[in-house]
Amino acid sequence: MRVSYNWLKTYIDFPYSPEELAERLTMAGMEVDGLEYLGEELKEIIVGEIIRIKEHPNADKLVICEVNTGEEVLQIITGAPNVVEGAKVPVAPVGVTLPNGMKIKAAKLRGEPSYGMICSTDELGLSEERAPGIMILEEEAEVGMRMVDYLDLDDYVLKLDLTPNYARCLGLLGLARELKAMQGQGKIKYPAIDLEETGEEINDLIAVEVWDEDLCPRYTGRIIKNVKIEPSPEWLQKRLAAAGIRPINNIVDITNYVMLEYNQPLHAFDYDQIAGRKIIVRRAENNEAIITLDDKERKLDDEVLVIADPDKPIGLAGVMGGANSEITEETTNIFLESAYFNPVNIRKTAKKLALPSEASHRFERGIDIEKVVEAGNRAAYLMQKYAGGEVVRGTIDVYPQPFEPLEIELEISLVNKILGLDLTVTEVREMLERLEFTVVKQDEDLLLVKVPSYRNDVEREADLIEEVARIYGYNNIPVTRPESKQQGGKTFKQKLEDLTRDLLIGSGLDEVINFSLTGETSFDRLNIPEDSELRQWVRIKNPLSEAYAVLRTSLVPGILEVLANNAKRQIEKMAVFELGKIFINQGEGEPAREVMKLAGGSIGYLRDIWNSGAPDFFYLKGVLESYFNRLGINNIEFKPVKVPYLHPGRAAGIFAGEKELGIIGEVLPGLIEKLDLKQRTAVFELDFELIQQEVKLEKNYQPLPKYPAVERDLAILVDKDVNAGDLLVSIKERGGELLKEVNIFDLYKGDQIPENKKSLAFTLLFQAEDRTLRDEEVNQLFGNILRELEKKYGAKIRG
Amino acid sequence: MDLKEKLQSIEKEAEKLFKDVDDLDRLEELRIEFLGKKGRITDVLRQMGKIPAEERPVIGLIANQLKAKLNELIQLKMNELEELIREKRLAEEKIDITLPGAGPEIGHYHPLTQIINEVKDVFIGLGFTIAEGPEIETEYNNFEALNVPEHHPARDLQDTFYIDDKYLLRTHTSPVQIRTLARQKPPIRVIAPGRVYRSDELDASHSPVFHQVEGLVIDKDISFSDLKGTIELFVKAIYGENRSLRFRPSYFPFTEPSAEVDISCIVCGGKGCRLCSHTGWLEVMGSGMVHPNVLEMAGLDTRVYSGFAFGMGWDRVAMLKYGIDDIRLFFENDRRFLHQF
Repeated sequence: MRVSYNWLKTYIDFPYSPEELAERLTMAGMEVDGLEYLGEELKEIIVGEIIRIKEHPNADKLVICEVNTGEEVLQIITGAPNVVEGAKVPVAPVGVTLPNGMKIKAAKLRGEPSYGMICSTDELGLSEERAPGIMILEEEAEVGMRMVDYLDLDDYVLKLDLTPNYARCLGLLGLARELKAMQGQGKIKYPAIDLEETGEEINDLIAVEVWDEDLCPRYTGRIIKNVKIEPSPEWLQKRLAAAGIRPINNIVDITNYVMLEYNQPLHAFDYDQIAGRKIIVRRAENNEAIITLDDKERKLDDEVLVIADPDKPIGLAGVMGGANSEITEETTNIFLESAYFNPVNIRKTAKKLALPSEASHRFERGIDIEKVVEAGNRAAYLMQKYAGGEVVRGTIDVYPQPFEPLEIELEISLVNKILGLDLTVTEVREMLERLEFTVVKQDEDLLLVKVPSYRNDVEREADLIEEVARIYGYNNIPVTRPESKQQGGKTFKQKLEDLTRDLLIGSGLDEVINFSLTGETSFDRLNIPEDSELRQWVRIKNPLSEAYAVLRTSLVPGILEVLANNAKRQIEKMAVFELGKIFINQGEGEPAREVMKLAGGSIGYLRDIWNSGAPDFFYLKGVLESYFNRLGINNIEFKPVKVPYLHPGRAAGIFAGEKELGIIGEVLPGLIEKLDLKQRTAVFELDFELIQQEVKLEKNYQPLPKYPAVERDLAILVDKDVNAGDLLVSIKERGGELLKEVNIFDLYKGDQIPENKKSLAFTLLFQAEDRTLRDEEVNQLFGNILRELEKKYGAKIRG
Repeated sequence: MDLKEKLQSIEKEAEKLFKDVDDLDRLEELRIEFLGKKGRITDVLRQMGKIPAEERPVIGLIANQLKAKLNELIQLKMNELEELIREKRLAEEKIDITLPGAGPEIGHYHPLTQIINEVKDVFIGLGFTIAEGPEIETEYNNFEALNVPEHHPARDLQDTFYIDDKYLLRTHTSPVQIRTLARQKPPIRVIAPGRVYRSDELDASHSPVFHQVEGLVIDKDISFSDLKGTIELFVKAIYGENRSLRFRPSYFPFTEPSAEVDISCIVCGGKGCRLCSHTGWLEVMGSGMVHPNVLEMAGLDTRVYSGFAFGMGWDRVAMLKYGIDDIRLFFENDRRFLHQF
């Protein structure tokens, strides 16, 4: 809400400058998130008087003016057709910047010097259209006075960002009341209401029926006759403009003005458009429609409350009036509505029709049901004063269940316990009374507190405790810390997440964080088949765009996008991982499955240890092997798998025994171009929750070997298609307990050996726990291994 | 020339020769020449038979002294030469120690992870454990249980992504409070870091996906002053001892009283600058005493138990701490960005 500093001052005296006021309000819970000086753009423009006009010797369309600005007489050249001697005009001296950005400099115009500019309304930002000549000011304008004073723009606007519990401050009187409580003194100057009722009785002119009392607990009205529709006085227009409301005509402006004073939205109907001299407040019928003031047709249903005459709806209650009863230039008689509507219903209607308004904003937060009539009277008075209206005798007031103030029991010991203070019952009482709460009863430790009608945010003792804290001052409350009764720490899973990040980062991967909102196209690009689980998305009902319409079912698309985006910035070598959640839809009404996944990718890794042209694959594989080893998962196997987006000859499932933990592989060559990756790229994705089940971090000491080990190398030739992993399995089987370790140290394909063959070289380490091994024992084992490899894989020893 | 003179001339010659030796092979040659079994001193001694018996001990003594002297010379020379060889070898083996090392490349923690780790460390030190909850939440846990009824204007404070009538993407980490209260009896002392969602268009200061960390403390006799003390300790640990802070009344449906926490601006220190919109203060977190409605819905007796809660966006913490002015940088994962942390 925009609040004029000067306007607020008319209701209460306070000693604060605009900046101090902003600070005070902020610290009292009414956050001011901006302070605007209304005269900011015009603060250097002054009032001058044209004392003499001479012809320009070198130009027919220009004249030379001598302008008295109080301090000096300036020569200013202008082309404006409406200059006359004696006119008071706005002057921008040299050095001033106009609102449109133009900087005034001393200049020569056709040979004659000019020291400033006489401005038009558009140049001063006071009109949108180009003015035909300069702005001529009122005769009373004083030479040398600032234009901000002349235009009454010497004012500040505080931009208040009010939370829902400060709805009462959506009216200036409410804000004044807060200020009074904050200062602990001062008196509120209530606006004048000097009604002179004349003529008929209102009940003879109109009848009001409220059919849905639950949606309209109070409905009041006044009739003002013979009004003259014209623009409102300038001061009123300026106040509305400062508040951000566009002036329309005196009647509409007055309803808005009083709304800003009292936080009571009002509506003025053209009385003569109300059929049957009867207002009915009722639910709309399904499929009923109304054209609202913005000239749009609105389809209604029976959840919407309307103001109707016997024939038709004439307004959406609390939201917007109807075009059929609008105030026009021909309007002479007004039915002025001041009512209290059900906040929830107003909110639903404004939402459903996407029609938020100043009125609905206030009604849905709750207004002061006890001030409904007073606000109506104030508006009627202003119409009497500024629209020449005659206020008809009497007020319609349909108020079947008058307001019963809430009474709350407040224990002082609870106040002190919650705030960490030591207040007496009298102190608490005084603070609440400053805020206009009434104490009905006072005991040793108890107050019975009556809540004012405008404080609908106060429902129970906690709300009163907040009021006490606010008045006491949050920053005056002492600083303590609670006694700690438990040990802090992380769960096993949380520690494992930390360890995972540590290990992967230590292995050279950068951690990335991607959005979990994504688009289907990210998955289409990866050739994910229609029936895949990866297409069981959780869908957002109200997405921002297609790109953020579903929740990710895999981390891989995000990883690939990161690598591709970096590749575009000439980053050719990069390895990343992400530890994050994916979401699998479990069907309507069921919660989605949220699974923690660990995924990674690598591009441009340099060392190709097996000369296989797949350095990234083996880099990531190596990282994962070390990772599993550190987690004590020692039964990991890599087995060929088919994954739609991976190279069929370069993809593996990662198994711990029978459990498939995830996959690793190189991105399908065709996709590399499609995804803009530019180079071969390897990725992996693992189910972090399955990993968690397999982790064995308990350690048991094994005695160190006492006897020497025997090392043997084995080089064999096998068919190209034989998997090294299978050979290792056979070697370990045959080697038995005495074979402690076996490693591949060389892989060779090429000239030295037959086509379709490859050479593999292993180092075998034999060792016994109870004796030094004899050569014959080792030879025998070695022979067994070799025979097994010959038999199973046609291996030949390489000479 | 008698034997004595011979020995003397051998001594002179040897001294001269040894002096010029410059490698170990030559030294060995000379050793053999003078001290070998067939060497020149032995040669002299062989002639002892020819001299009178009474002179023999004298010559013998001189010869032995000469042997000892030459041995000593050889040893010294040998040490000298070996030292030279060692030095030469070391000189040859010199490397360019300014060439880069061959250590493993190490990755980088995402800045958001680094920040939340700092946050967790502070609270674990204060006896907190870490609670978690799903990102797809029930409307009930996200709103109703937190004292935000349907059609309450407070719902406008958070633009929500809905899944269906029952589920939504949590708009804050506060539902973890509700889950914790359902699972655990007081004393409770948890923080709940996690990902949250709001239907905000992506720009420099808004993101539809961001991160919050929530804190909840429930016990007998927990007061607003305890909240202030805990938050003050945390804020100083994260933003520095010299930060001043203030508590300002605010509104959250699930706390009452509620407070916004401001710290003195980390750029200007309170004088006013662009970052703090010339107020000198930066809003860093929301907090308050847990609303009795929330405690009652969780089945706790509000005459016995009270507590406080607080929450903050940790993306914003990282932006303030590292001076990052665009939230999108966190999710773009540009290597040049990541490698700054």
